[in-house]
Amino acid sequence: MLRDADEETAFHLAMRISEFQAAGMSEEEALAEALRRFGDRNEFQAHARGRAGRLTRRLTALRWLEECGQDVRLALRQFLHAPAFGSVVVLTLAVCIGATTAMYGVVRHLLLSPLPYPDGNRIVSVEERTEGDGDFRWQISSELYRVWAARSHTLEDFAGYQWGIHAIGEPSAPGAAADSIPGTRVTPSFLKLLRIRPALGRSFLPEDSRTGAPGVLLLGDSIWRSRFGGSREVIGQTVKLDGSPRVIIGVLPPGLGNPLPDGEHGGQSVYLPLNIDSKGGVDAFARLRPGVTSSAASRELDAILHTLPDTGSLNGAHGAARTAQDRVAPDRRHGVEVVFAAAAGLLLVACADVAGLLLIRGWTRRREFAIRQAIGAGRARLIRQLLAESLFLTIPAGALGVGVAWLGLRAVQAEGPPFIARTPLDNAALLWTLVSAVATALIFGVTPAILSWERSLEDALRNGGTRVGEGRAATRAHATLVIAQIALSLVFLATAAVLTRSFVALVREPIGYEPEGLYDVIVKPTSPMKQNVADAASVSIMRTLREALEKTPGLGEVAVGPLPLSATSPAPTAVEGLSGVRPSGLVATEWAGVNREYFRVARIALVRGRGFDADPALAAREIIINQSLARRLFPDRDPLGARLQMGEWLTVVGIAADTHMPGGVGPEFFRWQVYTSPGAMNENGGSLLVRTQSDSSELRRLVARAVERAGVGVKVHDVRQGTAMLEYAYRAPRFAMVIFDLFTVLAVALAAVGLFGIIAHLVARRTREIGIRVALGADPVALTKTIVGQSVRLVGLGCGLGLVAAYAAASTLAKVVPGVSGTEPVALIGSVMILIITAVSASVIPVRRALRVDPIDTLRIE
Amino acid sequence: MPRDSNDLLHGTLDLLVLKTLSWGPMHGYGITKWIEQATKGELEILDSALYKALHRLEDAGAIDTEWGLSDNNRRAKYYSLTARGRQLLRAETATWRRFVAAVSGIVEPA
Repeated sequence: MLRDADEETAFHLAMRISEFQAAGMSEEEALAEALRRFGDRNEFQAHARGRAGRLTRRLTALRWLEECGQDVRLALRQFLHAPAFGSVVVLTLAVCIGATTAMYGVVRHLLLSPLPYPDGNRIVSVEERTEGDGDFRWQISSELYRVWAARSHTLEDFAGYQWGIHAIGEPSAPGAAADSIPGTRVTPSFLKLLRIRPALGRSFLPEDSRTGAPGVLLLGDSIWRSRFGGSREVIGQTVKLDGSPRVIIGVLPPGLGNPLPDGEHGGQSVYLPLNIDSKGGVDAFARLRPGVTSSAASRELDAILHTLPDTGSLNGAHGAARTAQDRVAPDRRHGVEVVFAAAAGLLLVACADVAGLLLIRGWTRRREFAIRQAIGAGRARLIRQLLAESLFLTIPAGALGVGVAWLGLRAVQAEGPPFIARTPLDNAALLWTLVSAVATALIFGVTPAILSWERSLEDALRNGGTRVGEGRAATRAHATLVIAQIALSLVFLATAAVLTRSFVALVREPIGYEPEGLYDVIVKPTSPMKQNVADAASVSIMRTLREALEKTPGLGEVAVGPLPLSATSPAPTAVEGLSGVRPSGLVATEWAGVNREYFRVARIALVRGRGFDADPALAAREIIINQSLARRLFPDRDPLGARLQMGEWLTVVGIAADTHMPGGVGPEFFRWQVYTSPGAMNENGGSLLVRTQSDSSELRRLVARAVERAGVGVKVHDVRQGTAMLEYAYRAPRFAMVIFDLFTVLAVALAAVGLFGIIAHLVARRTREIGIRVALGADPVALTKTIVGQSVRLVGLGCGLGLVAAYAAASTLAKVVPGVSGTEPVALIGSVMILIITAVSASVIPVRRALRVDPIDTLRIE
Repeated sequence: MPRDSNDLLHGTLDLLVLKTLSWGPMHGYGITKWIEQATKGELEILDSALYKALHRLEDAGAIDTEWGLSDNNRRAKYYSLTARGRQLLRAETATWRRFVAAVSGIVEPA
């Protein structure tokens, strides 16, 4: 372009000079005159240069766009040329990308994302904790709340709530109960803590919570839509709540959750003002002041707690401020991290697999590349084309991966442990998909091309691209891929085997009773009983029912009492001669009303003392406690004869074996059990324990008929299965196990496919060499042995590395996930065998094919 | 559209070049000579300014270029009008007429 301008100027000046010479000037005069007429040459050159640059840039951009179009066309042609190859790659990647996306969603939801409020990661729970609380969060007393709120400098915007069930509206028929809905009493400061405003109407004011103030309430979003039709007219309307009128003053925005309990109830809650001056416990929250960490706030709360004269708390209680992420129990955090790492590892295996396949394809295409390079395509241009090709595989894979992730999260919601069951598929997770798809394209698309790069163009062209062996780098890359895949799939196998074994151990773990064949039958009165006569009457009703059921053929053993571990509401209990237990001089224990036969039917052993007295009047003053509670309350004295207060003082006569969730799930105090006698009905009805050989539908039928025949004015409300109670404990470990089993099947399948492809390719490449050797008289059997031996050596190296890595993975897992230990030699040896058999068959098949070919033909192949 | 003096000058030069090329393809020197002869050297346009005008018109798509051989058998760049150039010539001619009329109305009132 610039040269054009120079040449043009030169031509112009030459013409001028000859013109002036023709007019009679000397050569010098003509030149001077021509230059004068032309003007400033330097300035003109600068102009020409600038113009040339502009034009070049515009042309380059045009050409680039055109080449991109070409790349896409080539990639499409490549894909259509081998649709099976393309589909396998796309599906493999889709599954792996989907799995990482789903797991990233879980990790983000649980561990990374702050609460969905402005500056939500500064919201902390304010707690008084002791050893053994696990991931349970206690209410604190209103007094402690007031002290902390008044004296803390690291926290601001203290707020609290109390959750409960309320009756809304009028009963639909006389004698029936009004609808129950969840309701949350919140301090007026709560919306300020969350930094949210009502979607409609106004928020609570401090005067709303004063005693004697007119009744007001706020509606949650979904109850506003479902019960009030989403109408803006609700503001100012009056509804009856627990029998007294309240004016609706506002509607909260949708999507509220943690720390409000509302999330669990889908916005079905109503909100009432809470007066924190009253007695009782409160779920307390606050905001970290800017720049304050939760541990600094915890230290301050603890210091304030210890200045109080008598906190009435358990020894070792301490103040704590915990963010939502702090509240995720370490074993859950580790579990999620391990599964996420596994998903990412699976993606790596898939990448290695696809890279291997592309490497092989790259080798068969090297003649094409060599020709294209020879006719002037630059390396950058070829790399771009490869990138386009791999994006052509990864973009559909990413799109499908989103579908897989969605399915995966549906599975998490349906089958996963409760603490991750509300994971959304959000934009961040989708962004993750995009990032992993593009990263995958880069890793596996371009690397093989660079590795199999042809050093000598002439070689590739002269030999037709089939004769000469691959470059050393490419061979080494193949071998590395084989080894890496084998190693990674062994790690998966080891992990899955360990998780499976620990789950089996968990299921077999003795839990203090026998849940198989055990049911409890919950009965409720057909008409409301008067509270004062209820107790005595219900005891005799329960006794009558028990006898009626026991006489029913096909039912088996029957006792009064609930399924072990089915109660989850610790009650405050005073202990004689013991002070200083939470929340104010009390220890929280589980109480269950049972009769004499209960321990026999449930198969709970009495380890000390005796069972309840045969005389009901004496038995009513006796209690039996379990071993954990005995250890907790009476570490240095005999529990037998000690007294606990529940209404009146009751004497410990026996100690029962502990019943507990498999794996010790749940906080310690859930296991502090007190048994009273005899079993009666409370507001939740009464329970009968049945041990039977009948199946559950047969049992339901028999029980319903027997209860009806007994004619004591109760009906069967529910029948619960003993094994179902354990589901909660099995869910998380089973989920991890199933995920790992799936991942392992995928990983081993991927490794076998990749291994087969690469080894078959490595052997097939030597067809000509084999032909020559046979022609020269080599023994086919010995030759086969040599080649198979080489493959097996490769696999052996991978297995060796894999076993080391698997051992490391299993022992790391044992450290971070409780209840997991050791390695699983049988599974490991089994998978090593599978991989070696794959390697042997992958090499034998092409070797035999090579041996069958006439040596003359192999020489003529080109 | 209002114009400043620079535009006015460029516009005039462009008009001259376009008009010249309307007789047929020419190389840069040919155009220079043709304008010199047609104006009897009155305008004294610097050669470089003329080339800049050619470049400007080429970038605007009004003229095309092609390398060819001159009368004395030297390689030279030939310029020719495009369809767009013809359109531009018509428009610029009309503008020029209005301009001359307007200026004349002031300088030589009838």
